[in-house]
Amino acid sequence: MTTAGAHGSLDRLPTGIPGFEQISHGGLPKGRSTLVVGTAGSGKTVYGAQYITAGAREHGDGGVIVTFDESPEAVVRNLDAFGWGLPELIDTGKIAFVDCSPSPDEDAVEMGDFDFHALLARIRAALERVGGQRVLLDSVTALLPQFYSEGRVRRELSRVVHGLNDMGVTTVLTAERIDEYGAIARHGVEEFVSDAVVVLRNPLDEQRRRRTIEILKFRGGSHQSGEFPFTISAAEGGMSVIPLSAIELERPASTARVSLGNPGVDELFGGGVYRDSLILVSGPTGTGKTLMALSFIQAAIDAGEHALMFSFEESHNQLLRNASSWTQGMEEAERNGQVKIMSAYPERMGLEDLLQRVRREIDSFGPRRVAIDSLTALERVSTRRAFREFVVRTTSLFKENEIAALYTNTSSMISGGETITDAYVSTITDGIMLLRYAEIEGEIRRAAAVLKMRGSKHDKRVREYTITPNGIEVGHPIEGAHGLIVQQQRDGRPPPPPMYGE
Amino acid sequence: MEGTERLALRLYVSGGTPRSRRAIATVRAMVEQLGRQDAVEVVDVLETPSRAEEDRIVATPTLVKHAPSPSSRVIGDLSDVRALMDALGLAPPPENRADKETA
Repeated sequence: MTTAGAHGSLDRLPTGIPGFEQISHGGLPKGRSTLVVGTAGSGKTVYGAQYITAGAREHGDGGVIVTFDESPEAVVRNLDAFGWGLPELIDTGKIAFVDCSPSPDEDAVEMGDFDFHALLARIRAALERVGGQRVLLDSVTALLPQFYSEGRVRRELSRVVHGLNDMGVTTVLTAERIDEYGAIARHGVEEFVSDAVVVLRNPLDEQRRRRTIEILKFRGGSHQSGEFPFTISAAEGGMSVIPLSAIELERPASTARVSLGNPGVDELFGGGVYRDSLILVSGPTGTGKTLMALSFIQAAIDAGEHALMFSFEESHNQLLRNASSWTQGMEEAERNGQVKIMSAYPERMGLEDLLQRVRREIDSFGPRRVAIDSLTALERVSTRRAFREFVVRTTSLFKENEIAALYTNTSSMISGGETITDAYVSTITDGIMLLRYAEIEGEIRRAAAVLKMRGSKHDKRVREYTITPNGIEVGHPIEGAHGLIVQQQRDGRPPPPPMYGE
Repeated sequence: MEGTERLALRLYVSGGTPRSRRAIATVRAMVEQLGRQDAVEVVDVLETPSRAEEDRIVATPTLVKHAPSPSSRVIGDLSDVRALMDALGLAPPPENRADKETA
């Protein structure tokens, strides 16, 4: 990548856009100009306006918004839903507009050469009024068609940008592009903003829109390369970038053990699981996966910890009804704020929004345990790529915050069998517990086994279990049962090697 | 006709650049021909940038015709009086026209 100069050789200005500082190693190049390009509807104005308003609110930086497209009134109206308090920031003199929107009912003729001194003078005056550090030009693409001579506009815009750089302010220019992966911008706009380029994309990925942000270059500074997902949501206060967390990094693994809420299950795992473990419980429908999740939450209640449960399989009421018969005090724990149960149809909430929700809850609610019931429900409503990202990112979030997490996954066949989710998720989970139906002595019974437990011994035997009014009761090992967990081939060949660790 | 319809022009320039001087000279020559020297106001955006807000001026020189309606603007250094009148939809006064035709 274009990482001339050492890391941090350039001063950075935090944008205030959550996650952007992480992927940009601290923010935008300070006192320079950054071009933000994207197709129509990719979020360029949101990026720019959030940079200005967050700068005013969080850093006390005055800001100037130059509109070439819409009137300031329309911009304020369009951004109202994000709750940035733009009207108040204007009233209190923190933010000023420079209105360069064209008059629709006025003819304009070009006759001879011109310059943009007026534009620069107006921006300078507005900066002086608000004590401004930040400037947004939105969008320069809308300015170009207002003149015949593109060459002159480019020359003059370039002078304006240099003028702003000389004033020491940090400028964001937005520009439109036609293709998600084509030329950087229309009209060769990037030629005169060479310090930094950020690309916003909104491509179709398996029939779904998926927003990404990529830093194309930061002259004289380092940044993370590649595309990162981002969300735009009124509830989240605008744009949030989802940075790749340092999941690959070695982090100190916790050696403290926590209970899964069931003594028999704890024993299968060799005495509970590590504090920062991610456990996958996989099995066909009716084998007690939701019950495992509820026990896991119950263990947090017993330990006096906060716990968060996402229930995508059952409604809130259904879940509590089940909980009241199997566990104690779930409703009360929810009333007194120790437990949060979030029941939602994942169809109505994209995975990126959900991830942001998880992140927010970790920050504000501080759960020590999170259960997600089930991954299968999420996989159904997302693309494979988005699903994998979700799993990787939640996992790293949980690890960073030393949260014990339990995911459930529904395998399709009654007898078990491996799902794609198993195969993928298994590589990043610390422990895997398989729940299966088994025909034993002419009866359909349930069998459980722990297939993997990272960094610890565990019970490798297949055990029968029953679901009782008190929850899962783990019974005796099933001797001489074959093919329950690792299926035997019908032709008598040895079974394929297990997909999981150990 | 003359004097019955209001003519209001505002010319935005930036300092004393050659471009500014050319535009001022052309506009002054035009209003002189029209016999309406009082109809033009010259605004230097470097001295009073706040004045440029009203007409949302980006480029200089820009000549804005506020009256008669419809309002219109001409951007550039305006080298030619006749072309400028055409662009603004202003007719040269009859006596001038007659002068030109006989000349």
